[in-house]
Amino acid sequence: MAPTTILLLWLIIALLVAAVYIYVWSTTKGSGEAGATASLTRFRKPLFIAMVVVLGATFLLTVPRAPYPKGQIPDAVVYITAKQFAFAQSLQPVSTDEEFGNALGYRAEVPVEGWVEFRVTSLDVNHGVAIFDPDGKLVGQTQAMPGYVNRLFVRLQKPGSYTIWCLEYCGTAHHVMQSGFEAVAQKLSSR
Amino acid sequence: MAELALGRQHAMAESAGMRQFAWLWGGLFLVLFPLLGLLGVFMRMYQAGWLQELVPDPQWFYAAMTLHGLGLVGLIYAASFVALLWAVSPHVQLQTRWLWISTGLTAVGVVLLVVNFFNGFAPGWYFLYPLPFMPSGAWSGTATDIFLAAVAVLGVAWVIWELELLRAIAARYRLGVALGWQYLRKGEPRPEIPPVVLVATVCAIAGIVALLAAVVMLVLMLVHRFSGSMVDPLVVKNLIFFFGHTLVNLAMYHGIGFLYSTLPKYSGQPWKTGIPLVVAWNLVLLLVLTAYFHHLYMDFAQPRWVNFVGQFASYGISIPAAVVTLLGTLSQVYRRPVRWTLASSLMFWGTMGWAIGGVAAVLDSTVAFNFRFHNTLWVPAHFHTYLLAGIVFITLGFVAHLAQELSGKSESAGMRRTILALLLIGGYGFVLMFYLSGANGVPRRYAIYPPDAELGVQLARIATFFVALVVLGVLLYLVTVGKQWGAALAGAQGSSASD
Ligand code: HEM
Ligand SMILES: [Cu+2]
Ligand SMILES: [Cu+2]
Repeated sequence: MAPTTILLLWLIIALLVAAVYIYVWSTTKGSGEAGATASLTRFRKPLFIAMVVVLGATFLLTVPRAPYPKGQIPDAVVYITAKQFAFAQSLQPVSTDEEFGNALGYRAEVPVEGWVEFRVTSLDVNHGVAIFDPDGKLVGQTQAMPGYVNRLFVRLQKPGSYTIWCLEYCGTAHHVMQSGFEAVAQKLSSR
Repeated sequence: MAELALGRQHAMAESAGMRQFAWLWGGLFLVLFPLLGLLGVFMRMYQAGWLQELVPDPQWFYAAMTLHGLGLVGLIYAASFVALLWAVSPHVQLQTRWLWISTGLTAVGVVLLVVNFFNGFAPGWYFLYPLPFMPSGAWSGTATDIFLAAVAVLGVAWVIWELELLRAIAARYRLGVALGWQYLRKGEPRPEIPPVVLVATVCAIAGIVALLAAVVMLVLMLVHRFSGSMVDPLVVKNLIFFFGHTLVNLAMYHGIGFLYSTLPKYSGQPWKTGIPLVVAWNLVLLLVLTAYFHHLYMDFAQPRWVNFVGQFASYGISIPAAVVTLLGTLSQVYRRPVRWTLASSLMFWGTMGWAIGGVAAVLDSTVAFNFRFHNTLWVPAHFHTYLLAGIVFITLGFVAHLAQELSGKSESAGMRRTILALLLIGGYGFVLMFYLSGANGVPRRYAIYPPDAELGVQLARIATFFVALVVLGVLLYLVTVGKQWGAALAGAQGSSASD
């Protein structure tokens, strides 16, 4: 589901909740027929069942859509290494500061439509690798953590320039930490 | 029933020590909440692009973010805990000596955190190891040492009062009884327990477990500090989120415990323990300890089943909240001649913030959705909804309740409506801009938005308008409740002079 659809869903539920609150609040203005117990607890069971059904169904529908690697064969592999406050891209793993420095100038080219695997790690603190498409929409993300490699698989829909922003706070220049790569229509040199 | 001795006698029946204690914390909340909130106003204006010339170094944004986050989470945890203690104190015998020791240590911790603001210390409120040790030159090793000391002091402070609460409960009830298990057997439940005792027991157990996790985390940080070798950052991340998530949730549950015992004083309908309530809170105790995994979905190195346990627990915990507490609150007041004061209104509307923020939290706790929501402004959106428009409302309600109960004075209906309207419109407008930003991929924790996230700046500008309404509402609240506070103080002095 697109984030804006989820926003809409939240907004609808939020307005419903607000409507219920305002309605219930408006019934409290009456002057003192305290005996008139019209309890709302009779809604307890229906609410319980409705929540179990809706949440259970959502759980079962969304778990298979989790963004974790599912054994895909990547059409391109790019290593992304984070270090305060830059990302290095490379076709080989980067594990030293020197390799990091050498890799800094490289800008990857990956195929659209195929599976691209990003192998993400960090040389210092936690960072985040978030990919934004040419229209600035957030495609997906993973964390960059020292000592771990997180494998992020994405299928890019549009050709053009993609931007990577750091999405885990990593220090006082966190907001300028970015990078980018190209997605092109044919499969190119990156493999 | 003796347990339900309600009304004005409540204050009379309190030990003088408990009254002073609640009083002090109410006062602290009235002073610290606006000050720490102002740091938030500063941040939102910074993101709107209005202060970047005045304060060119974004480090001050991040230092403000750290103090705002740590300070308000700590304050709301502590103040709501005091509200819970106040509510539970008619039922168990608390020794205020321990509560005062915790308060004193908390003050020391807070002073250290404020000092560190001026040291430019800025790893964020949940600090991810090893950032405190690797600030890229932004702050000194001394600042990190001071911070570790602050964490240690606050940890000790809060373990003490959690243990005192648990001790006081255990002195009167067996643990199984305090958790309400006798309700699950056939026949009349004996002894009956008030809901606030059940909630307090669940909170104290979860609180102690969370604080133990903080101790383990602190030890790992100290290993790094003194040996210089890396410890496992994923383990530390699990510990920090376990602690942070649980602490924030507890703040809400403290408020709910207070609500269970106090809302009936305004609605005239007792809130009794029954099977649904017992099942709900025992479930909460289980689920609150595993829901935190939803903070680590984007750590693909974390075992996958753990993430789905996180989603399951996050979904599951919303059910007792809705079915027992929210529906319970609504049926408390539904078609009843409720005595609406500033206190009862803030408590009632505070539960709505919990519900609406909770819906956003449940959506974000879906692994598949978190892929595009994690660390966007959706996150501050949902937690400001249930913190600011939720538990802060309830805590403001607690302080107003104290002030009204002790002074016997109440505000005018016009003033009450004005304050509520400002806080509700301002609060929801403010968070709505966060939601809109988050759904459009604007990152959280960015002092300055990049040029291609211009939307973030626009929405921050609109947000500051709503923030201004909140500020005005809080000011009016302070004047109103401050007057009652003063009258109560004068009354107390008068009565102690005549004793
Ligand atoms: C009108 C009042 C408030 C304003 C204007 C405000 C504003 C902000 C802003 C702009 C941020 C940074 C968002 C980002 O870009 O990541 C923030 C973060 C935060 N706020 Fe507030 N806030 C307010 C009230 C509160 C309250 C009442 C609480 C808690 C009880 C709270 C807790 C937090 C926390 C925990 C953070 C996260 C800090 C971090 O990421 O390290 N805020 N707030
Ligand atoms: Cu970074
Ligand atoms: Cu960063």
